[in-house]
Amino acid sequence: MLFFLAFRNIVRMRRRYFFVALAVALGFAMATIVSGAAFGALDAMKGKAARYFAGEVSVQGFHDPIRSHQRIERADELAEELARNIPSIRLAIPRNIYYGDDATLIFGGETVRQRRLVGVDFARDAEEFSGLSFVEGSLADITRDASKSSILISEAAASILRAHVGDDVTLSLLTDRGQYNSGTLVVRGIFQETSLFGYVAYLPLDTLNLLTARPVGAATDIAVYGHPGTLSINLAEMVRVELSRTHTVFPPLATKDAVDAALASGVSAQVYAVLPLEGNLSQMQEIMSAFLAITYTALFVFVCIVMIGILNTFRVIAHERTTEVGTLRAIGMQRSSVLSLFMLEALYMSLAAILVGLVLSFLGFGLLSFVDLGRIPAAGLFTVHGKMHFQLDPLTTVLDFFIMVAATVVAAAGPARKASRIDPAAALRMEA
Amino acid sequence: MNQSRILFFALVLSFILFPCHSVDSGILSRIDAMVSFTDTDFGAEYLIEKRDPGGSISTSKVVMFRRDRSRLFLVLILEPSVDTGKGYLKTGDSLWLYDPVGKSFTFTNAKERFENTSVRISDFNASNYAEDYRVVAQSAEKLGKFDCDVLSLESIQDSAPFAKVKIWVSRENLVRKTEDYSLSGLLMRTTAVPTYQKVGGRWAPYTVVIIDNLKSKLISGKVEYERTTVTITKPSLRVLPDSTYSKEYLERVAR
Repeated sequence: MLFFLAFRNIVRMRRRYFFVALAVALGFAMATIVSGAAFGALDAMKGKAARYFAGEVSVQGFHDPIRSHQRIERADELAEELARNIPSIRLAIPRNIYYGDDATLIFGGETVRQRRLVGVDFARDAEEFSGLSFVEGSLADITRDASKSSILISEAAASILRAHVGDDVTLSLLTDRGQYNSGTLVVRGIFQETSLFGYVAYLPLDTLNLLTARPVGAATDIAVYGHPGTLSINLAEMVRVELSRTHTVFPPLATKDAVDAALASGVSAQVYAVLPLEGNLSQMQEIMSAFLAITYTALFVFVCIVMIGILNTFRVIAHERTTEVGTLRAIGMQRSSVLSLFMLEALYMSLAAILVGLVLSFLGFGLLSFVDLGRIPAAGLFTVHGKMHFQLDPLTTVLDFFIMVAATVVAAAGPARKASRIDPAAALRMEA
Repeated sequence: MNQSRILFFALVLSFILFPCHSVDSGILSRIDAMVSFTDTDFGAEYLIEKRDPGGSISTSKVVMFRRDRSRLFLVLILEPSVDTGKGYLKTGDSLWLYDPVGKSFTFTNAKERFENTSVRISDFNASNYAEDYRVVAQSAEKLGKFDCDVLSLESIQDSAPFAKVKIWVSRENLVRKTEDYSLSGLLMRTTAVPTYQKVGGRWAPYTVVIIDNLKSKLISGKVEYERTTVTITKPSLRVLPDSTYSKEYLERVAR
């Protein structure tokens, strides 16, 4: 009966409730859009970082303490073994990374140093590289190239070299033995990348093996990707435990510095280090956490303002319904029932408003996704193809939901309690 | 018997038709000996002038001390003023770069370019062809006024920066020209040493011209390469105290 009455009251007093509901809906939409944008930005950044650092979890192989000698023999077999034995793995694939800072691209008398070179099996690793934004050429062009004498370079490097797709660039680097080597590679694509992950070039895995004089089939890393929702820290531990059954593995390592420290303690036989992506992104994570903290502080202030609005509206509603409450009390309704009635109305209103807020936030995602942020230099780190990327984190959305419901109910609780204490006789006298 | 005769004549005929120099295994040691100072220290001032394709010129002046018997060297940059006090110290297999601004030493790679010129830091090492390379082919060629042996070398040590090297050696066992190739066979650098100076009983280059074959530009229809000219002056064979080849020395002189 109370549920029906509460529903009927909302419909009857829809004009009064409209503005409160609108504020709640906007509050929830704002919270959802901001958290969606923040998590989307983090996801976009992690996607770029996963290309740059080798996966959400990186398995690195060493046979001596020298970082430049990092190598996993028969990397394909190990990757398949991991993918077969760990159900949470979506993709495990060898990557070949040149960690030296002396790789140089040369074209038309111009040179540009590369921060790192990444050897990729483009045919099997296409999905992870589909996020690259190309200004010239495409991923398909390098995947189709059977000669494997091809390379994808960043827009910044192409601009310095004045190189375009189809040009032959010379890549000069040091082999694992420390001698100069060079190769002529055809530019198959020029991609946009932020400066943080810029000055990187991607080339076929076997080609980089050849240039660095590494054995065929070797790789420096195995890039591991989890199914959606799998935390990379958990995935790293699963990989570490699985690897330790048959191989020598370092204890859990959280950062790249920890890997270096473990290496410094001495390595004489093949050993593996398992590093989650967060280990390479600790500073970025701090920035994102700070951003979220600032955002939620702003949202908290907004929720407080909405709560004051709800409080005032419910005061007016309770005052306007003094006679109605008096009548209900006179015909036998308990104080607790009156309180519940008002609370249910607040609850219904907030639920409906949150639903509208969710729809509004999806509309907001859609509209904001059209905004091209590609021209803002630093924005590229957090965007996909120059556009904002949104991701709804289920836990945060549920949290936002409960915060808005609680804020509404708490704001309505005071006026509701006051309404429940109305003396029926006084209320009816007031009517008379 | 007939088969042996045919084989012998075929061998003689092949030598007549395709004359070649036999590989002189001791030549690399003799080349190294001509420019090494194993009984004392070698010091000199190097003026390094880099000319980019198109014309812009940058100059560096450095002082270098070398103790060949212990494989030590110290390079201190005097000019440009922005890099004054910066230095390199090589002790054994370790090479340190000293930054006077941060007052810090960092481990660096001898294969790096020196001051962004075509000179590699490893070029300050004593000549070490005999240990780093083996001769795979030898022929004769006239290089300007010099009658030279042309030696094709392949590295046998990881410490050798280039996997393949071709050197033109004059009759006095002095290297007059070098071509450095990458592992894949790409010509990376060409070095000419037109003049040497006598220091004690040995020789030191006076001018060295290095062409970076990877850095070229087409200017007015002509290919111009990055060219680095090194002029070595004030050679000295004065024995230096051991403390010269130390981090403390670099820190002290940089002040």
